[in-house]
Order: sequence, then structure tokens, then C-alpha cells
Amino acid sequence: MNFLKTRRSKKAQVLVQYPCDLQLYKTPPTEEISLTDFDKYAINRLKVLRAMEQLTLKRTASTNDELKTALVAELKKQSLNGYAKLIQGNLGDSEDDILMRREDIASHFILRLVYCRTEDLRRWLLLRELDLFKLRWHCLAPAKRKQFLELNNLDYSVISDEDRNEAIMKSKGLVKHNTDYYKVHWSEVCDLVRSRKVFLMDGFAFITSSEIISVLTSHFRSHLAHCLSIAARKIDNIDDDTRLHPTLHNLHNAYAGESYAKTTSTDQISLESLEALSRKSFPLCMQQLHRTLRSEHHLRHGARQQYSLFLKGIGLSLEDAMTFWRSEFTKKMDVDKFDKNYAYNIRHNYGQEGKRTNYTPYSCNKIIMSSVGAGDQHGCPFRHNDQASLKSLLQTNGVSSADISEMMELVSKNNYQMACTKYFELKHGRELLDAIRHPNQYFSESVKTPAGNVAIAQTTANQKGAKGENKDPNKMDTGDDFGMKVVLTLKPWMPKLRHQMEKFKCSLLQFVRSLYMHICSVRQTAEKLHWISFASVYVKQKSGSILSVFIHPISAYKYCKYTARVEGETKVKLNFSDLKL
Amino acid sequence: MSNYHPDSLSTLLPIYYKRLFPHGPFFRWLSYGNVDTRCFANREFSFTLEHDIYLRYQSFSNQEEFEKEIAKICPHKIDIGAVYSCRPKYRNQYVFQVIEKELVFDIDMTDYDDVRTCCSGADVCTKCWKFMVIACKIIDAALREDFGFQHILWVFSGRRGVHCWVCDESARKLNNLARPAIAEYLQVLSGGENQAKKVTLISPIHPSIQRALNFIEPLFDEVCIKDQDILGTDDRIRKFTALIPDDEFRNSVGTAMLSLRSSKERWQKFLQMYQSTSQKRNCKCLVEEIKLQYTYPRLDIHVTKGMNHLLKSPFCVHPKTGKICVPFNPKAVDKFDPTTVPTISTLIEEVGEYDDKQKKILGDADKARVKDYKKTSVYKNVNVFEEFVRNLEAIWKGKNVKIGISDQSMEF
Ligand code: SF4
Ligand SMILES: [Zn+2]
Repeated sequence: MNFLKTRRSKKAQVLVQYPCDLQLYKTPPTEEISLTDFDKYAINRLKVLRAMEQLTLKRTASTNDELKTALVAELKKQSLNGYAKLIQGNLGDSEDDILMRREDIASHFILRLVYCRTEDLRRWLLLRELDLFKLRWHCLAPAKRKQFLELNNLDYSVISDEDRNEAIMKSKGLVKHNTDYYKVHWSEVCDLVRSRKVFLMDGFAFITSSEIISVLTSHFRSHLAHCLSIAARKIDNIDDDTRLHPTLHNLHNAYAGESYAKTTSTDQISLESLEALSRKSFPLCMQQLHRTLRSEHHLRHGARQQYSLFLKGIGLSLEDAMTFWRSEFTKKMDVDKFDKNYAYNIRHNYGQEGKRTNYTPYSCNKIIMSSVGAGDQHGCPFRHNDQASLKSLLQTNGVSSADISEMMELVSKNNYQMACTKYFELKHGRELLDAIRHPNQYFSESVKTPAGNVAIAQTTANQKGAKGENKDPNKMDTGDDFGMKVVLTLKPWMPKLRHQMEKFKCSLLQFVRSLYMHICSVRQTAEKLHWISFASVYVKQKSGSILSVFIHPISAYKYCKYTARVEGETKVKLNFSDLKL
Repeated sequence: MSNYHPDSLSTLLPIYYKRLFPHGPFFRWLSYGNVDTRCFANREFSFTLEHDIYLRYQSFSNQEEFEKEIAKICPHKIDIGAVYSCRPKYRNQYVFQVIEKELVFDIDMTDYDDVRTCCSGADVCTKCWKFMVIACKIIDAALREDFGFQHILWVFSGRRGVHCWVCDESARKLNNLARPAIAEYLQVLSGGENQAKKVTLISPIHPSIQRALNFIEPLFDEVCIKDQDILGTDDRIRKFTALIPDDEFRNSVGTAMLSLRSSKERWQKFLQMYQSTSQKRNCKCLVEEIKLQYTYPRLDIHVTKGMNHLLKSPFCVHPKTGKICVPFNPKAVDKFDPTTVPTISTLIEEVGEYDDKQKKILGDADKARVKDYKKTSVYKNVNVFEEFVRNLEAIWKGKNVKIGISDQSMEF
């Protein structure tokens, strides 16, 4: 009796605390969370966010409904049924459902701790949480939406017919009859303003009920951004709590990836080699900027940023960078003007001015998403050049017309990075393990490619082998991945693996185990690719501690193409709990 | 008139700053009603001195201090930055963050080089200046009607462009999410160097773009067809036809144009062919798109997006041309002629001439009665500026009064 009572009261308590499926996450959870739950919550939410990221990266789901279906399917596959239900806004008030709400909130706050450490991590979390929030709002039933708005004091009222008539008249067809409109300040719906999707009058935007999400996202974004920056300042206190240490740190390493910000003294490049490298080893986006700079002796701001950070990333020293930019710019302006207007900017990018931040080179995603105005030279050729100019660019780079049309196909499906990867592979005669996701990665892959094209022969041979292995349907489709045979031979064309092994000083066996983990998480049925659940390889170091190495989702696809082969090791059975963080 | 020589700048500036620079209104502008003294005191100024010595993070507690420093160092250029959370001087000791900054726009003639044929680079003439006229009208109207801003200062940049300062409180407080949004809202041309067609409209055309088209409509033939002769050569025709998405239609327009003589005939022919063509499927707004591509304002949106970007101050002297960066009334932008903007030498001559004349009539006594700028051709620009400052202050005064009243009622 007593027992029942406490249970019920606990449930009631949670229900009072979290009456709604959707959250702005204003109050952190107060009740205790066991360490096991702490880990589990963090990992599960991360899985959800990653799944979400991959779906948006692929850009195949174009409508919210498609996205929802895809995400729900993915979550169910990963046995995250609670989240699947949560995202669809289907939670009732059964015990499990209530607990799910609690997990939602707790896990969100845990990830804040994990992801508040650096600018990049904060941005990542913010974008992912924002996407998730948008989708969840989309799935919420009207009554629940109303409840959510009321609970958060976001009550908007419909404008009067009179006001609407005025708007209809002035908006020339944008504002319509028979629709309810809400009036909000334009700065609350920046995304609608930016894309000119909304009618503005005297500083107010006229939005429909389906556009209220835009207001909510701006609340959500500014609130979370604010909280993350506060968390970043406070994190040192939490870091002292050794119990939480592993989770916080490993998870965060798991995402860090390479930022390509630093150059070690060993991989410096010289000014003299720049010209040759630009032709041989630069991705098209940078090649294009290099050529423009050489011919125009000037680059506009966006282009300058994109290019100079890239150059920094590939190891051009500040002194050389200065010489380089100065020698180009001063063909059209005097040295004084250059020193005054542009030198600061370059030093700034190297962290020598202003806030002294060591700025990181732009990733493909950032370049692809950037806004490119008339006359701007920056951007990604696959995304920002029109068909005609992209074609001619590829032609001048010696790409055959058959390959061009294949790339155009990828481009038309918004698969810019895959097109770029394809371009790399053509130019270098070898396949990449990782798809291109960063111009500096393109560069480092390129310079790693051995001279001559030995690589081609080996790749083809191995591909054949790989195909044979992949054909074994029992192994691939059983769903019981852990029984799969993992065989791995390190070939020269797998420098990435070599590199990682050296970096973490682990044995081949250890490495294979971790790689295996990774492969297990990538399931491939027929030609269709299922995206991975957890894009990290866990590497056990000699010291016994476990390091996680992040592998980007896109690369997972590449891993699938090869079957790993290792002598003498047949069955590797591992599961996640073996690698308990 | 253009008796200005860059070498004389250093000798002219001391007189200019002492007698002509409108320190009073300038200070009143940047103190924004003095409601918050930080507005002026924590504002970053940066100066460029002779031989391009560049001083950043200067700040002054009041007009007197500012005037004194200016008189002392006579900067060749003054840039205005943001208002920070502490005096920029002490930026290493305290939290140093931008707290507010006017929303600014920078439109530069060099960005029109792909559509103007009369000049290029740093040059500007009355023909291509018409692009600036169009730009000013479009941006000004959008800022007022769409965004509800009222306190907008337009300034000639001294050579070949214009700056626009939006000074409403709500504009100064915009964060760095809202600034890019407004910049991109006003950036209709997109796609960069490697994309020929930079405007693709969806119907219904957004009211803001429709309004822009209404400004462009009456000027398009004059500016593009007549002055710029955009269909005058084979090359230009090629550039033009590249904007037509449909291959077949593009080719037939191209051929038809080559058989005609003038831009005017060619443009007419195009319109006529477009009217009668059946291939409009994917280019329903082609004529509008073309007009926008040739005339819609080209903004350097990077300047608008950032909070801490420095922009040249009004009433600076452009070191190369000697011209004053004068504010002008956007409603009278049609009449603004960049080629007749007074130079620093003209102004100083004018003051001298006026004083000489007065001396003859009145003797020495009344010399100080008339403000110096009123003796020169820059006075109407100072008036524009003063009116702008007065309008700003009216708002603050109104508010002060209100605050006063509510304060009183609080006492009870
Ligand atoms: S995909 Fe990335 S690396 Fe390739 S061209 Fe585009 S931005 Fe550059
Ligand atoms: Zn001209």
C-alpha cells in the first residue's frame, strides 16, 4: 500500500513537473539520477541527435513528415522506442511515458555539460537540439501545442480582420484571406525574414499558425545558447566530480573529430610549393579561390576568410601567409593600404590579434551553408556554381564527361560532398575511406596519396574481395551483428587506420575490436544503407583507459565497402557494455 | 573647384576640424539623448593619421575631450566602431563586449563593375551614380516600411559609394542573429562570381521586391538601356542572354539581337519575344529578374552582419578626393551629385571669401556671429544632419518626460 502510494506520488510529481512532451528546458531536473542512468541517458540522447544529424546530412528527407518517418524508423531500429514515441508526441501518462519525459529533460541537461566546452561543440549541440525541437513541434497535436504555448507564456493572439485586410492589401498576395495571422516583431522570426518568406510591415511580421515554430526556435536558440555559455564558465566545478569524469570527457571526445586548426611543425608547407599544391592537392573550392586571387590580385572578405584559414590549416606559417597575401594584393594596391586594411585580418585568423582565438578552418558544411552574395567568390563550387560554370571547371580539371554527369547527378540531389569525394577519387586514383567533409581533410588525404598510381590496382583488387564478402547474406542481414566474422588486412590504401593506430599506440587486435564495433553499428542491407548508431571507435590503450575516436557518419558508408580481414582472429564478440565508459 | 591636392590635406585639416567639423551635432548624435552616458564614453573611435598610422580603441568621455584630441592629432580618417561594455581604453582590464552598434549598410560602386560600362574601379560619374540613387531609394524604403526604422542617416562615402546608418534604438540593440537576417533579406542578388543568373523569383513576388521593382521600373530604360548600353556589344549580349534559363529561347533571343543595332531595339525585341514565347514555364518572372540583376542594390553584407565593424564617420574628408563625407536627404537623392560635393579646399576658401566680404562691409566686429559652416556649400548637408539629430532627440525627450511622470507616480 505504502509502496503503491509512493510510486503514484512520484509519478504525479513528475507529471506536475513535466506536464508537456515538448520542452524549452528551462528548469534542470532536481531528483537524483543514478550514475548508470546518467551514462545511459547521455548515450541515448546522443544517438538520437546523431541519427538526426545523419538524416539532415543526407538531405533525402525533404519534408518534416518524411524526416519524422525516417527518424522514427531509425530510432526503433536502435531500440530507442521511448524516444520514437516522444518525438511523435505520443506520450500518455503511463509510468514509462512519464519516465521518458524525465529522461528527455535529464539527458538534455547532461549533454549541455558535455557539449559546452568549446565553441564548435556548443554549435553542434545547438543545431542538433534545434532540429530535434523543430521536428517535435511539427509532430505535436494542436491541443498539445496549445498547452505548450500556454505553459511557456507564449500566448499569441490572432490579429483582427481589420488589420488583416490592411495587410492583405499591402502585401500584394502574400497575406491571404481565410487564414489566421499573428503579429510578432520581425526579430523573433529571423529565419523567415532571412529567406523573405514573411510579410513585414512597420517592423512586424505576419505569421500563420504553422510559422509560430519560427518564433519558438528563436526563443529556444537564444535560451540554449545563453545557457551553454554559462555552463562553459561553470564547467570547471563539475569537472572536479570524478564520478562524472569519464562520461563527460569521453562523450565529448567522441564528437570532437579533427578541427584542422593546428599545424604541427612537421607538416608545414612552404610558399614555393603552394602553386603546385594548389593544382594537385586543393579541393575545388580552394583551387578556385587560389586562381581568382592570382588573376584578380584581390579577394573579398568571405573568400579571404575561407581561403586564409584553409592555408593556415594546411600549414602555411603566418610569415609566409603575410608574404603571400601581400605580394598578390599589392599588385593592385599600395603596400600601406594592404597593411592597414588586410594585414590585421590575416593576423587575426592566426590568433595574433583581437580575442586571440585560434580560428579553425571552415568545414564543408559551413562553406556549403554560407550565404554567397553577388560578386562574392567564396563558397563550394558544387553548391554555388551554376551548372555551366561547374561543368567547365570540371572539364578544365580533366574530368571526363561521363564522370561529370555522374557528379551532376549527385549535385542535383544536394549531395555536394559526395560529388567532391568522387572528384577526389578520380584525381587521385584511389578510394577514400572517409567522404570529404572538410577541405583540409581533402588536402591531407591528397598529400598522403603516394606518387604514382599503385593505389589504383590495389584498390580494385581489394574491392573485388570486398564484394565477395559482402555477398554473404547470412552475415549481413541476421541482425545479430556480433556473430559476424571480422577480417582485416592493413593495406597501404588504408593510411587512416594506420594513422589512428599509431596515434593511440594500440595493438592491431585492439584496434580491430574497436573497428569491428564500428562496423557492427553500420548495417548494410542490399544496396540500401542504414546509418550508424554510434559513430565512434573505442580504442583501448595500453594503460587500460579507453579512448574514443570519432569517425564521421559519412565515412561509415565507406567502411562498408571493405570487409576487414585479420589473420587468425575469427570471432570477435563484443558489445557495448564490454567497453563500458 | 577641384583645386584639392592630397598633399595639402595635412595643412587643411587643422582648420577644417577647428572651424567646420560639426562637433556639436556629432556629439549629440552619438550620445543618443544622453540617457546612458556609456553611449558616447564607451564608443570606439579609430583614427588614421598621416602616413597611415592606425589607432584603434580610442574613446572619449565627452565632447570637449573628443574635440581636443581631434584638434591635436588631426586624423586623416575617423572610423566609428561599436559601444562596448567598458571604455575601449581599458579593454584589457574589464569585460569587453559589444553592447550596441548602429545597423549599417555599405554600398560601393566597385560592386557594380559587372553591370556598369561607363567607369570601373574607383571611378564614378553621374551615369553610374544612378545605381546608387536606385539603391538608396530601395534600401531606405525597405528599412522604413518593412522594418519600421525611422532614424536613418545616409552619407556619401567621399568617393564612389554611400553608407547608411540606422540609429533607432531597436536597430542599435540588434543581436548577431538579427543582423544577418536583415542583411540577407535585403540581399536579393545571390550566387557569387560563378553563377551567371543571380536572381530567381518565386511568385507571388515578395512585396519588398515588388516595391524595389516599382523604383527600378521608371529608371531602367534610362540607366541600363541608354546610359549603360547593356546590349551594346556582342559581349554584353552574351552576358545578357546567359540569364535566360531556357536553351532554345536563349538562342533565338541571341540571334535576333545580333541582327539589330542598338541596345534599345534589342531590349524591345527581347520584351516582344518574351511576350509571345511559349517557353515561360520555368521563367515566369524573367523580365523582373533581369531588371533586378542589373539594378538591385549590391550590399557588402559583411559590414551589416557584424557588430564590431568600423565604418567611416560622416564629415570625414576623403584623403584622395578631398571630398567631405556629407550626409544627404534620401528623399532628394535624385538631386545628389557626387561630382559636385565640396572638397576641403573649397570649403576653406569659401570661409575665407565670406569673411573677407564681411570684413569689407562690417569691419572686424561681427566675425564670430555666423557659424563657419553656414558660410560654405556644406551648410545644407549640416542641416540634413542637424535635422536627423533633432528627430532623434525628439524621441528621447518624449521618453524622458514619460519616465519623469511615472517616476513621480511611483513616489506615492
Ligand atoms: S565539398 Fe567541401 S572540400 Fe569539396 S569543394 Fe565543396 S567545400 Fe570544398
Ligand atoms: Zn560612370
